[in-house]
Amino acid sequence: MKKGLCSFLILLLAVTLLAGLVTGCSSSTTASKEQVITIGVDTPLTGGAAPWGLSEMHGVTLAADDFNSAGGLTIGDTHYTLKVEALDDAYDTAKATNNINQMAYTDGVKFMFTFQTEGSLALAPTLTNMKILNFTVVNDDRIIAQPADAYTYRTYMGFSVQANDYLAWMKKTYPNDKSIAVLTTNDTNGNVTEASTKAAAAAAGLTYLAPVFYDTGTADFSPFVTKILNEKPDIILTIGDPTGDVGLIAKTLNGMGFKGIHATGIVGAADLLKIAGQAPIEGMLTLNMPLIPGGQVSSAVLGLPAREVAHSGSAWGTAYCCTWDFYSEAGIMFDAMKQAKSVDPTVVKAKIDQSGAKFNYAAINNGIATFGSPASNAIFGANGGHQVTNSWPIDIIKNGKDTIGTIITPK
Amino acid sequence: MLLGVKDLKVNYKKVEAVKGVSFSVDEGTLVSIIGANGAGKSTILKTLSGLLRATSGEIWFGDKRIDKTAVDKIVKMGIAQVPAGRRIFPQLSVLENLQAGAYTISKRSEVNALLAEVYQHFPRMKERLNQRAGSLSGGEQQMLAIGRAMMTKPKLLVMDEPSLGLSPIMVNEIGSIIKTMKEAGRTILLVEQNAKLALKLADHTYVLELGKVVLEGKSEDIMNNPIVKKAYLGATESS
Amino acid sequence: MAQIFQVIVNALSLSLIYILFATGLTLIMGIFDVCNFAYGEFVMVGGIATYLIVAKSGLPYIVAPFAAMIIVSLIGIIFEKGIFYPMRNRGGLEPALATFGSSTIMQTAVLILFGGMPLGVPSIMSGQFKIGSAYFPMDRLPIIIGGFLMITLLFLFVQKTKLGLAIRALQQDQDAAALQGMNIASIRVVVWVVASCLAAVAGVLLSSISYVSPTMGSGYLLKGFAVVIMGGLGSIPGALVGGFVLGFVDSFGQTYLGSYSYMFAFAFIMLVLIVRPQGLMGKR
Ligand SMILES: Nc1ncnc2c1ncn2[C@@H]1O[C@H](COP(=O)(O)OP(=O)(O)OP(=O)(O)O)[C@@H](O)[C@H]1O
Ligand SMILES: [Mg+2]
Repeated sequence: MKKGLCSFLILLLAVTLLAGLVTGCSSSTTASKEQVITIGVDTPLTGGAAPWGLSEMHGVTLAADDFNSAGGLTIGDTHYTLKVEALDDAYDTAKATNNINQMAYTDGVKFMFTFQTEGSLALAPTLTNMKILNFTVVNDDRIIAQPADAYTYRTYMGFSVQANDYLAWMKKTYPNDKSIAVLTTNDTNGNVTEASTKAAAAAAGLTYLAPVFYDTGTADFSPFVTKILNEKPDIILTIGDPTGDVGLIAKTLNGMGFKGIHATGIVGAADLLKIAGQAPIEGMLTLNMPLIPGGQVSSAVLGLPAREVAHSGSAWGTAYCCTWDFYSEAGIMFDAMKQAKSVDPTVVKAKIDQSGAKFNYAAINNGIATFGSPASNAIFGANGGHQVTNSWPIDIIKNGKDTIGTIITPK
Repeated sequence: MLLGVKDLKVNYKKVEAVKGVSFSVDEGTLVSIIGANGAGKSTILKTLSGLLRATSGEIWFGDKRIDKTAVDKIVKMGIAQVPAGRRIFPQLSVLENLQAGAYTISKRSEVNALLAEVYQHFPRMKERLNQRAGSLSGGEQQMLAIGRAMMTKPKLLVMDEPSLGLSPIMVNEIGSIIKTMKEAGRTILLVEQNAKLALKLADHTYVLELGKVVLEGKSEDIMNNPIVKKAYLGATESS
Repeated sequence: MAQIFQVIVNALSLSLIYILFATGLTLIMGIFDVCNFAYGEFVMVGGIATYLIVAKSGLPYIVAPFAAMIIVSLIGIIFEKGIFYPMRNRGGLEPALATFGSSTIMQTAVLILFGGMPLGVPSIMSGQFKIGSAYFPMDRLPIIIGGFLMITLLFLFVQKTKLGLAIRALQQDQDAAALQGMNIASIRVVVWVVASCLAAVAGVLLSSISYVSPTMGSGYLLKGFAVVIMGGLGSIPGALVGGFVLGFVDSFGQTYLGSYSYMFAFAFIMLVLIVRPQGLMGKR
């Protein structure tokens, strides 16, 4: 009997190790003049938020591949290439904290991408102390309200920065829709969505209705949808919700006869289609980039889905919604390394902080990303330099497919 | 000889609870095993039914050796046990308890015949068929436990301390039921701490002390044995 | 006020989800006295089967529950023979830990095989009908019908058949059951098959209104345990009552209390347990 348990535990260990092998990988190897820089990614690879996390892993990896195949970076007699280590946090604070600690302390990662709100917030001071450059996508503005020397930058147009333009565009495009209500997660992420929408609704002249919050992990959205429909909103905003939730909400809204506009964040039509089917997502607004040739969308990101499909390895073989976005964000970091001619995070950070510095934003032809634009400085004041500014799309789902509504270029 | 036990030894881990016990039960007789707390009586019965395994020794039922046979097979072969503390199914109704006893019997007519026989011995059960068994009185629960064992259609009925925890009146009632069953020709192995009751009912009695048979013989002889009188029947003499 | 009607419709379908999830769980916990932390993964495998059969292969929906029942039953038998039976005399902690580990293994295996993406499964029925001013989404109808059907079948099986009687006897006293000639080892397997079938059908029905992912089952586990404990451990009527109570408390709580509903639901369960420590339908 004892033996049975033992072999069971061993099996368990083996599987856990195997799982670790599949997602993360061992640290860098050093040749005499060849050096590999590990780029750490902590992101949800499982659960409802997995489409984002897998997008991030794909995007960062492909950007690193492109950096390497464009010759990498040669400083003196050393040739540097990049390698990506992605850890799964399942969108869970404890796991995210663990992963970030592991990458910082154990794996000696110096360049990092984080995703999960509470984990990123909690560990931002640590990353600053350890001088680890971190690009994050958390919605919570507290990630920006940090000491000016913080090593964490938001390389995603946080909803607080986008809200005004998003709602103003809706108001202009759908003049008959007059009220808006937020249906979002009961966490800091959701609170940011709520606060930003409230301010933007006032600015755009939309009636702001009481928000509805739900706990993450909800499987049946009927009670929440019932509650929000009771307010009779013209627009329902589910920004910041995990993809799976947005899909289920779309399905439930359709089931309860909602005829207004369902607007959400960076969620791909293809993923929503799989979860909700075509009718429930028709006419939805998202912030996803429709990868359609001929417009402003760059050929680099147009080619991404095919590369994701062709790429070998576990968690590859499928093209994800938002890979373009993370590819472009990672490109900013790698461009900064190139411009700074350094793999020292402090030197790269100095380049980012340099006033007037411009970085390549790969998603859009001749796209440019800056830190500390008039728009972000207006919101974040002295900390505006920790917020990226770049052009971003509004997408309308038609016939189950992403189509471009507009591309917003912030002032 | 219906049941033959030869040099049976049973251990709980390192502790030997039954240290080489032999006894036999002939068809149509009532044999009793008496002994104090912890003598090893229940251990022997559990081993008979296959709930415990013997460390050594043999158990024969008819011409079959059963000390390695599975519990359910032993029941099907014809040994039914009324366990110590009754162990009826408290959440089941009286009827369901009896039906549980008839688990191995598939013919409905046979089950009905057995039920009729149980009702004959225990008319009180018939009145309480749909009552939850856990709500029966102690004596009624004992009757149900015996009735449930009868439902397995046994060749040998083994009872572990049926008098335990019952009022004197109830003890007498159970005693007379056992007597009737014996007179009806059933083979019974009765284990008791109540030596007076056991000796009164049994043809043949074994006295068990610390896992060993220290005395055996016809019940009348045992009853008159001075040691037994002192150690097992003392309380009755003074009352 | 029309909202009340909608909330009741929601509560009904939410209750059935909880009930479907909790009945198999209570069956296993009641009989083996062990928490099965991997039960959520049984449900998840039911969902995976649905995904493979309906979404991938395009076979009719009716195939899914049967295939799921077979697959999940096999897993249940492996659990019984590999964990629960060998560990039956070793208290509750070790097998519970083993199920905990198995849950991780199963999630990881599914993750490796299918990836972490939510796997979409089409609804069994779509559209909605309007009753007064309330909407009844048609995709809930199979949950309600399937749920009631499964519970009725389970009830009939447990209350009216010989095997059901044996299961109830086994639940109350394993040795006494053996002394009636019941083959404990094979009845235990029957219990696993029944519980697995319930989990499989729950997986099919749940994935039809939601989506399939490696963690889809673990999300329900806490609520499932709550229903089981509130209803009374091992009690099938308890799971029924507990499921309805939690479904209604949750649905009303989520609609009228919003983000406090989770706290409210568990406070309510605590209250129930203070007043009736054995649970709503549990027996002392
Ligand atoms: N499960 C067990 N584990 C260890 N020792 C046990 C176990 N069951 C019984 N014993 C020991 O074995 C011995 C015999 O116990 P048994 O129950 O057979 O006695 P008994 O004659 O039936 O006593 P009583 O009249 O009190 O029922 C005792 O010393 C008891 O402590
Ligand atoms: Mg005893």
